Amino acid sequence: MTFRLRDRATSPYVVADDPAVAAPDRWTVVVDAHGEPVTVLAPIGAADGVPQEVAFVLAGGDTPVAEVLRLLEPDDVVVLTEAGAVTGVWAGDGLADAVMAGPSRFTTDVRLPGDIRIPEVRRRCRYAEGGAVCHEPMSFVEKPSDLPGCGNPHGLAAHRFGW
Amino acid sequence: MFGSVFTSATGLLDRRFTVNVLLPVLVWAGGLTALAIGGIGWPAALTWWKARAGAEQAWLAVAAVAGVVLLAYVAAGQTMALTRIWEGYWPRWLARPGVAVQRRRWQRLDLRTPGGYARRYREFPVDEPDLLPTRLGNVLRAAESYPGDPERYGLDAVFFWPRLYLVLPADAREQVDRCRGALDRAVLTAGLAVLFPVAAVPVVVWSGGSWRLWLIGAGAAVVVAVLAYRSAVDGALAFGEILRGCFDLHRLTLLDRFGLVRPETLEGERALWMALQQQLYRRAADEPELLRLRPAPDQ
Repeated sequence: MTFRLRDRATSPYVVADDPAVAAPDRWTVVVDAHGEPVTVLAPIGAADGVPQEVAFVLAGGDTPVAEVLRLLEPDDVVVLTEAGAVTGVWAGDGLADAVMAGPSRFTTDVRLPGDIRIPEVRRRCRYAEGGAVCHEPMSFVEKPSDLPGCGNPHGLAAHRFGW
Repeated sequence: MFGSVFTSATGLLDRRFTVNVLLPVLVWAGGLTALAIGGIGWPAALTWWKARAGAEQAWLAVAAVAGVVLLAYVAAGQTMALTRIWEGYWPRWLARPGVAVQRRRWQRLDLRTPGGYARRYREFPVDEPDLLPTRLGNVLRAAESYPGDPERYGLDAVFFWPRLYLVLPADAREQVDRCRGALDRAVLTAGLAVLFPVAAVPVVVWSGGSWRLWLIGAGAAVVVAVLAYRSAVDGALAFGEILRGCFDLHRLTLLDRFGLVRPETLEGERALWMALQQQLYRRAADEPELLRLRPAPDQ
């Protein structure tokens, strides 16, 4: 069983003649005098950072999804046309998820087999007393919820490590 | 019968899964089946099969294909573990002899010659304590330690790779997937080949098969394992170069996606990566003040 684009193209859309303004709740496919899509406008109020005019890919509804996924970026829009008319739009989170999942995304794609080797955090104690700062260095595997006692090499009053 | 059921099943599955996982598993299961039939005797097996009714044959075919697909899914889930085993992430006592061999190879490299230096760059980590006991392990470790080198970017590749992968352009991701797929296929094939003689023992015992046939199968499996391992090393070399390239070309895009201010110097970049990876991984950083967010575009 092969999934076709028409199975996925369920995003709400409206077709409008050029020039057009973006619809508030749906994708606007702007077409020229011949009915050919020339621009796609994102819904007004779409997530910040999404440009109003978005890159789009024209495809037939029969096209297998796997063939197109390799060519797409997560923020692209797929516009389906059949017999010269717009018949569907696939965009938004559904498309982004599919692109990131890819034609087949193996768990090994997103992981390297090696070990993480990030150095421990090394801080200097910020405890201050009478203008003198402790500055004792100490390493931590992570930020402790309870700070340990400081080595206090400069003989200040006994104190916990000053983060 | 098996052919049509198998064709229908693979039509439901992704091509990459079929080629990289299902095919090696199918060959492996086919080898074991051939051994079993060899024990029972081909004429007896054929007679038994022909005595089944059509519906029973169909169910058996479906069950066999389902079994192979299930085995393939299990195998796919073990690819990372298998890769680590082939790399040499073993207990220290077991790894020691292999590390000694690799150390000798590492020490013999003449870094003053272009060939020697290139080999160290591609096949070995820079620091001796990072050596692993197998060639595959060292090739992959050389690639993984490339971005983390304090003379390069100082960012931990293993930690940042899943994040970088999410911001790679589609064509780069495709190259990554292709190289990783080749590596995974070779690793899986080598693993299955090593497992074959072991799995074949109960099959031969159960079917009353010939141990001579088992020996031939085991010999063939060893040859396949050696060839597959060499392919895995080649795959790791290619994957390693792609990995280095992804970090070279797209790490600043990753910084942008984190919303951080781009540093002006390489030195500043190293310090920033260190602060970011410590903050994300260890929940604190040596210098958290380096993590400055870019203002929003409309400000």
